[in-house]
Amino acid sequence: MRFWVIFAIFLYLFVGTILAFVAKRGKSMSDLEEFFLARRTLGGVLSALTYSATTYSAFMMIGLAGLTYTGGVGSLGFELTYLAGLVLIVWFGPKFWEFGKRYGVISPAEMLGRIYGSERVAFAFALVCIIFLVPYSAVQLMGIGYSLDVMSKGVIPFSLGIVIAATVAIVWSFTGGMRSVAWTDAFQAGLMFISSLVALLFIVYKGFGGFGEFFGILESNYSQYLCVPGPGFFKLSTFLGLTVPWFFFSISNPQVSQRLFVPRSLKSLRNMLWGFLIFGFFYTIIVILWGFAARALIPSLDRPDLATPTLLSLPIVPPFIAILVMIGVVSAAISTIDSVLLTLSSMVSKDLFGKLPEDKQILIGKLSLFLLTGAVLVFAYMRPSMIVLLSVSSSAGLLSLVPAIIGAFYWKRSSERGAFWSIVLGAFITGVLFAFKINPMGLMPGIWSIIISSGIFVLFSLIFPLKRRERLKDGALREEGLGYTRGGLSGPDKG
Amino acid sequence: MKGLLWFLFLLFLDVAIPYGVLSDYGRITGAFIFWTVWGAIAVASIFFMTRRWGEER
Repeated sequence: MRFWVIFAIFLYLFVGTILAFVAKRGKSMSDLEEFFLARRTLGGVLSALTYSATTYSAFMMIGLAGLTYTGGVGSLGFELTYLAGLVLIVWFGPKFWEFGKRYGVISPAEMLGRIYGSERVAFAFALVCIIFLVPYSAVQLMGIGYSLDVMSKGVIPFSLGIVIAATVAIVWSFTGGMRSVAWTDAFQAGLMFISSLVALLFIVYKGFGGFGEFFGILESNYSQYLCVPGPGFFKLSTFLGLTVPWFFFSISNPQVSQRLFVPRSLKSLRNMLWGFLIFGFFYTIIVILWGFAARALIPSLDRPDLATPTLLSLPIVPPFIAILVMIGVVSAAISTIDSVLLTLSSMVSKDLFGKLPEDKQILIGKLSLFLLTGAVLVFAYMRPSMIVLLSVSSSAGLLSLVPAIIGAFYWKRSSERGAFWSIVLGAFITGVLFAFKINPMGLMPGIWSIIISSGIFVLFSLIFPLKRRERLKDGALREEGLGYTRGGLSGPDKG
Repeated sequence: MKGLLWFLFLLFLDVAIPYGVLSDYGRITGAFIFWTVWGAIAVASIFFMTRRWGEER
């Protein structure tokens, strides 16, 4: 068994690395658009797969399965409401895509900076993303470390596991930037989907005798898990507190919103959206049923995040299924980490050091890829409590970016100060609410994040309006005289 | 605008049905099937709203 575990891990790493190099073949990684956005030439299917693998992390098979184990069917509502949140792409997708193409924008932070004519908006946007997403990536890395340790029965201990995973993430993203990440993501999305589907079918037919029997056992023994609030976890306030931040995920999280710049055409953008929705819909149902299977087969676990590893260790599960699922979990984590790191390094190079010439920016981008990976690795190794806190609060913290994004395209009176202070104060107050575990009026910090940042955004925009502005055809705001200093906004050329 | 109103209506159902009429109905044909069908309708609605992308521009 141990041999096959190590063999499977090396096979996975080998195939991924080959793909990373093949994707890069013949392409020079000497400009930002090529390195970070694959020169905006990806087709719909590849875009859909990289979007899927980036969105769905180890949270699905570990966290969501555990949430279903604890709270029942409410987790299905929560996750499918997130998926319905992709409707935001209907209103923002073409705007991101067109703006990116017209002005040569690399990161979502840069886009907002240009629209509001303000470098500090771009800087604050990028900094908030780094503060919340580096810990999020560290927790993903920790998940890989624990998984490999358990799976290899100690042959790959935690510390070695996280070093291997971080090395893989950096090699795959450094080799060919977005191209390598997209191709390895596609491979990993396949692994994630197939491994979970095969494992579910196996468990349902081997463990219960079929879906009819499986549902029968759930109805007779665990009927409270089939309704909400059910066993008690999914009180309405909890459901809303979890769902609201995730509903806005597609525009608040830069590693996915940056992917709106990547498709080669509007049709490819649509196909990316459609492909992701199909993937997400079925993957969600598979994971939820997996969590229900854990509830029925191993009902007395103390820690719900052990539901998947424990289910895989049952005697009815053959070793190759267990290995396949664990590789799927590792794939989910690595495909998220390398995408987050690539996106954050694009923000470091473009939004924190944007005044440098392009060759220096690409150097900074690649250097920051190493530094950010190092930071993620150190955090994962040291496991300070602040890391877990920031990771848990990441979806709520990034919500503070949402009002400025919506206002940029849909509110004529939105202003630079409104955008800047809504991002800074919104993120700060959300962090404080999480740190001190404060839920004013019984509402979770995610709800407060959107309320507070929206309030600040509207208030500051009204008190400090733009002096002169005009609306561009694509809805972007231009502020003459205060225009973004890198290339300006005067024409359709790249900045 | 129609799309926005439609999704607001869907989001109302998303909470109102499982937490209202189905809150004591512990069968697979309750909240599980509701949310599955609801999710499929939401996905189909996005398909419909974006069906002409790439043709009109």
